[in-house]
Amino acid sequence: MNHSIAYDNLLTGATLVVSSEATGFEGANAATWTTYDWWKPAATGTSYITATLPAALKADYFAVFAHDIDTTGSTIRLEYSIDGGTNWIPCTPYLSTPDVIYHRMAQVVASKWRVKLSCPTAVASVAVISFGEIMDIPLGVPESMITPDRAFGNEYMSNIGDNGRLLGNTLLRNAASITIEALLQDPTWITTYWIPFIAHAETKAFFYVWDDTNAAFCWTDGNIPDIEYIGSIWNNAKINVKAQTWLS
Amino acid sequence: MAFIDEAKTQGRTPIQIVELDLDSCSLTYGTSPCTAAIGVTGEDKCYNTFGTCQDTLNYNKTTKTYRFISNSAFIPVGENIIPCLKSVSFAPTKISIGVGLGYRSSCNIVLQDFIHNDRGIDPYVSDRSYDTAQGTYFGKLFARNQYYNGRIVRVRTGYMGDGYDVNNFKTREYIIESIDGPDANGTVRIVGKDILKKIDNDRVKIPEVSTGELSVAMTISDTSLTLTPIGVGSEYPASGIIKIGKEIMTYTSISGDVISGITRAQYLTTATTHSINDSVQICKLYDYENIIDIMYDIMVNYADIPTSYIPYNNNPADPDEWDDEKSVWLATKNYTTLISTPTGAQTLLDELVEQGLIVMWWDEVTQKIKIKSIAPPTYFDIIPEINDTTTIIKESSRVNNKDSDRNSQIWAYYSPITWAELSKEEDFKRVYISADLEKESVNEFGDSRKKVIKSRWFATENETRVFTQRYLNGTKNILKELVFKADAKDASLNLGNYVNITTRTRQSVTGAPETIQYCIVEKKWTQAGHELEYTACEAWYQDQRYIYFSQNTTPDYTSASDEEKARYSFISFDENNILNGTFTTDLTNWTDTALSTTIWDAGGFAKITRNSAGVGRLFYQSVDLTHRYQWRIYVDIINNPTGDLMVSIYDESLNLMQSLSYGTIIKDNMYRTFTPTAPIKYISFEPTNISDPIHIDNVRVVNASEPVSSGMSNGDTPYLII
Repeated sequence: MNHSIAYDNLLTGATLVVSSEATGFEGANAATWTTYDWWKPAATGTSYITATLPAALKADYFAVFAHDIDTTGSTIRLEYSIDGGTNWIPCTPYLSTPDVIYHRMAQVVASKWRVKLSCPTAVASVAVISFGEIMDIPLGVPESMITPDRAFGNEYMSNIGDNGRLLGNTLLRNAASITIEALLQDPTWITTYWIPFIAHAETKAFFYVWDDTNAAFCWTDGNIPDIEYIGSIWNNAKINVKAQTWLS
Repeated sequence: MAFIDEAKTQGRTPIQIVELDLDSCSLTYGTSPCTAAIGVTGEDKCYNTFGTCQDTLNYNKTTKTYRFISNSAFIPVGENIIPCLKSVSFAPTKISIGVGLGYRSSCNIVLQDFIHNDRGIDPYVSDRSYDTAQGTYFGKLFARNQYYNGRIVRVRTGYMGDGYDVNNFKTREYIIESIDGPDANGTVRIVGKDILKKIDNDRVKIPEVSTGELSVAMTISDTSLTLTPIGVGSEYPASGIIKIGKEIMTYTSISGDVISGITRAQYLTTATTHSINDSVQICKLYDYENIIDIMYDIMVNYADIPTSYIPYNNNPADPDEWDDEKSVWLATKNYTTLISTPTGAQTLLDELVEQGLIVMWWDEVTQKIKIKSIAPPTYFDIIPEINDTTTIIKESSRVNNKDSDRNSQIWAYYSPITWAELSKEEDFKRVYISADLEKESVNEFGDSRKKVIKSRWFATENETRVFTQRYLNGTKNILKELVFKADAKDASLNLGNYVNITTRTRQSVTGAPETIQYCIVEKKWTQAGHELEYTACEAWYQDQRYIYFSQNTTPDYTSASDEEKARYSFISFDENNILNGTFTTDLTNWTDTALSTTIWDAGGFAKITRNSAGVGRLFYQSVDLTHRYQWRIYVDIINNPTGDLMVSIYDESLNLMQSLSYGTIIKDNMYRTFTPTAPIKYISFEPTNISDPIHIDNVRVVNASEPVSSGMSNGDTPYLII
């Protein structure tokens, strides 16, 4: 099973123009990795965040997290332009799934991108939008690794009466704790790809993708383990993260 | 879904949100009427706060709310709530029965600071010339908002059930006492206190301290005075009461700084001379005012507590909680006192709460100041039943014996020698003592516990006796507190609620769990949205008898349920006569010559005048009469007119069932026998051709199998007597 990390976000280095945003819900909020501030158009209809890059860059994934696009009956898609913004070409279908929206697409190189958010009946809110070049981890998911869909971080508390009768129970929802492992890797790959990713992950969130289709919103949890040498040839790299596949 | 319904849901998901209300200007920088301008009034734009305002004359204060949520996975979509809340702890309100206001509630909130880009916080973030990502959220927030003391902080607790809806949350509201931080670790601490902080003695005095002084010395007979400094007369009312030294005076007018129409040596004081610069203190008089109105006056007019926090309308047509408490329990607690020395509001309220035998507390959830008389539940109170099986969490209950609160003697000093001084026992003329000396005996507690109060409120021996006796009855034994934990599903119990608790931690002498009535005095969430801890105090009235008039809707004895019959006493017209039912009377045209009222009591008799058009009727709510074969109606004629007397018996549809003639009136005992064919609704007596008004009394209905006896004095058992 393949696995990847999506942390490169072209929105963060671009000049943004937002066609519609409610007060306190600026479009720029979607370009950060924080899940407590939101882009929310001022009214129903179609709204855009247009990103202009200093130079053409590659993108082969599009991801959205912390949103109510599905429950508001809205859709979102990524488009690009190669003629300065006159014509826009979709690079994803219209997407509207709950929890994490993730789409792997054919690679596109462009300097002009835009996110199209269509809200025909109710205005949606979006906290994180990301697209860019994905980092595939060679050799697939190690056998020792637990993917986010197999990990449970929730806490469960119950109260019982004197005769053992269940009085009530409580679910405290937490992100799952997992370790992303890149084992037996070529040191060159580690230097070229893993180390820059770690520099990002030290301060910002990212998406972890397993089996090419499912993604979790992740952030570093605790210390980042040192890279191990295996037999003086290969490297084992790991990172402990909190992983969320749902928001609420 | 409502909070308590969510709490009962299996797998509920609790969340907590903290809201911080800080001041904010509604204007836009440099836009009229704001005259601020970069380069003129400042080097950069303000942050719409008073501390950074460049045109304070036009500052237009509104409130901006900042919201924080625990650092968990859940954040409501589309809500600007920052996940930096580390913890919230509460010191809940605790009601102290019989000892003033008790423990007041507070909250302690810990937040974590973080790097922030100022979007959503700085209204002019896009206009800044500096890097707005520099600094931290709280570091910048409190640098821009220096004036936060006294503002509001709220803690909302709810569940993420069918969707986020803050309207279903329970909200606790506090006044910001302090904010510390952020410290080197980025920790920010906010301490909030409840609204009753406004009555702290160091904040509010009653009466307010007067600043006027005598401009010249005063002789023993002067009837006017001039205040100094100039203009201070505006502090004084047009007429009123003042105290100089230990002399209290009244005055009728003030003009500028000159007080005139003074009557010397008032309120049990003596006229003396006074020196230049002696203080002239305004006095506060409560003149036979109800305890509720006095408390309201102190809180609203002196402590400046918003009326929205006090559920009192003083309007019987639209009663609120305080009105109900006043009408049921406190209607006769009217006090007269003169407060001649500025006294802290809390001191006065402590006195009123203790001596009025009520409890008062801040309910941070309903955001109301609650009061409750120390009295048993009313007819309308629904008493929840709590036990080890369905409510109390396993191994969580314990009993605290409150021996330190026990008393064997209550001494109440009242009736001051002079209203100028009330601080010491020697300042009072009288003391009333209630004591239970048996409790002091070696076979009981073996010690003497004396509680002393000095009352400016009690005026009569009667009300002092009532207080001391009730206080003694409530505290002469060791009160027990039961502490137990409960699931969130039982969160609907609130402070002041009565509960019947059966638990193995309170056993009878046989070892069986005892069911005892308690009052909830403390409620504390030990795990937000999941588990609570309650403290319940054994009710003061456990061994006492209380009588109160029940509501108009309370049914008559015959219609009452078994529970109602057990709960209430029913008043009849003579002793021992409620056996199977009760009479009510329609005394139209009946007069009670003994009392000259329309009430026909045991000491009087009914008089039916000869010419009356109507008929006196004794209504009977029939029960058993229909089951008897024969009845006799006895009647005693008190006087001795000539004439005839008829008795008519009507069924429940007011149809005449039988009409019996007593024939010629004979003084003393008369009776007639009748056989009912249906339940009897009423019996009427109708005199005809009488020479004088007929005086009748002692109407009795008896089973005809009883022996006939004159005057019913041979041990017969009447079913009814009027």
